[in-house]
Amino acid sequence: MVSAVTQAPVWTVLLVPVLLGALGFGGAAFARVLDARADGRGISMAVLAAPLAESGRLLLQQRRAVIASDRLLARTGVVLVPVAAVLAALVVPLGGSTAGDLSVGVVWFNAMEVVVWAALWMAGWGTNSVWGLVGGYRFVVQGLSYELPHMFALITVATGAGSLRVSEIVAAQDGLWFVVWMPVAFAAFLLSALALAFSGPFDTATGGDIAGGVLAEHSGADRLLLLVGRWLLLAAAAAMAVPLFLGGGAGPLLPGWLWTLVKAAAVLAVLVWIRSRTATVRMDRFATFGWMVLIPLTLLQALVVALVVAAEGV
Amino acid sequence: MGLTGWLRRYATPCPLLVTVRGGGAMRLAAEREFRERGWAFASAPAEADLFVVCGVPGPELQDAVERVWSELPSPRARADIRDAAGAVGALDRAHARLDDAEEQRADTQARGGGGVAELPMADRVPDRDGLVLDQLHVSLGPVLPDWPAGVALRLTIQGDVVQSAEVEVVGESGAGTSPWAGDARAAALDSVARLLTVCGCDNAARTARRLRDQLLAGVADDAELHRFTRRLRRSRTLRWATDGLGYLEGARGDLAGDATQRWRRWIEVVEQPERSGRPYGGRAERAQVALEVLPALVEGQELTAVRVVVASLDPDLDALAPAHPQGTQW
Repeated sequence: MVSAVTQAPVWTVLLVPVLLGALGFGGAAFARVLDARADGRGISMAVLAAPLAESGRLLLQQRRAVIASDRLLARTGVVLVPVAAVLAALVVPLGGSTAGDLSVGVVWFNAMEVVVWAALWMAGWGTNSVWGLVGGYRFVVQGLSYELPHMFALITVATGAGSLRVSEIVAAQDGLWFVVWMPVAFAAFLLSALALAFSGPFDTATGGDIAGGVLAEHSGADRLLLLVGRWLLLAAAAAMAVPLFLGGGAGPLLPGWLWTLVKAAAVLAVLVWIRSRTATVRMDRFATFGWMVLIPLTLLQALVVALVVAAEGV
Repeated sequence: MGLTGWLRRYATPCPLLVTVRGGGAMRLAAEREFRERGWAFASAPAEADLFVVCGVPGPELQDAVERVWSELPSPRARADIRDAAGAVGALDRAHARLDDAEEQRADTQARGGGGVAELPMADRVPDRDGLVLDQLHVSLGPVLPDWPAGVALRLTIQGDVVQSAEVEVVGESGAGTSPWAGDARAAALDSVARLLTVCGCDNAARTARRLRDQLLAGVADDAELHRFTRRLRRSRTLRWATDGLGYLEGARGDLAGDATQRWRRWIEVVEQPERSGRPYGGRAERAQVALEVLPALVEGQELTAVRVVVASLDPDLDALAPAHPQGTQW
């Protein structure tokens, strides 16, 4: 039985960055654990706290810029990445309460992640560097490849629930989670979660082959904001998968908010694991895969769901 | 000590590794230290705080090395590793300097403000589709992480597509210093690790480097090596990243085929225990062929493809005879 999701007091908005930060930190620490295992190092407190230590190092590092770079543009982009991630997470309900129960919650989430396209492009272009520019453009190309399957996955969910409001989507999964009868949409959502957070196989924008791409010329606090923003985006996408596909806070024994966190952490762990097991996907390949495979499959999924909904409505 | 000292105490250095021709053994020693200490490699100067030069750069390379060093933000420290045995000491001393507040303050004041030098202005010329587009000249190497020592690739690019390429060999010959006299499997794993890094498989690259070090130390587990090679063979994304790139017609011996076929050949070497302890023959010939074919293979390709092609050829200039004077044009 799913308890109805209700709008929480306004001050809970302040909790969103805290919880999202904790989730993102967990993801980053897990990535460090996987790296340490590959390196043959033991898992110690130092490994788990490595993301914090790295943040401290970057805070002390000098900020530098290439001469004649557009600092305002670049820094606006840099700041927008973590801000967009937190704003996207506003509509994710924690158990039975949500900080922002918007009537167009799904569209809001989608809009915030598209802000990242502009942000990353600005952060790359503004540095006056070949690598930043190439990285920024790569992300726009990537957006063109992943965004349509991603939107079809979101539309499928909205069709199944008959609403764009996240609380009503959770309520519609009473008894049967969407992941069960929308597996293709769920898979497409997970792929696009990695892509929108420019992580794992979709990290062409920050690839080592172009000296870090968008990240190439950013040091110190600028770099920290971009890296933190990346983890927050991945965490926000993982958290959003819970109300969209995994029944929100539904589950036995534990309270709803804890179930939300457990499910979000599990999705995030899967994403981080995929990240560690894959090579960067070349954009020409992914564009072909996106348009020839993902779009037809997600369209078909949307059609099936629409037919089921129509049949039930008759 | 204050907040700064406290934050610095827990920070792990982020080294930018540069290998000079003849610095292979020093690079191996440094990379082993990084792995055991959990120091993450930097892919650009902006990220790094430790500048590690493996080998002794000649006058020509010295310029490039100094320029990259000047691009490291403060705090920064430099470790010049001149022999493999001194690697640990050099890294420890550099790490100590990095945490020395007085020295860092002096360094920051000495270098003044000032940004990083900007790019030369772009020219405009017609591209392959007949559009007039900006054209830029960039150089890959000789100072670049995960790049063969001594190779410089001067590129003319439009967007991220290479219009023309020239290969240059920078630095004095390191003939006779190739660290691979001992083990063909370790040499193959080293090439695999570099290709994996370029292809964005950071996690697998770490495993490859660990297995390489274990092979060199004679403590490798054959079962684990086989698990690792099986993992690579099964990786669809890795094949996607390398398929069809840098295709060479037959009769090129070990280099024939595309990048995928080349890394699969390395993996076959790793899977043959009877090759351990045997030198990896033909490296000089392979390096020679690689330098000759490289420009034709990368022209018309995107930057990603350029890095993958170079990593899949992985020319070992230290295996070349010293007949080639520095600055040779190919």
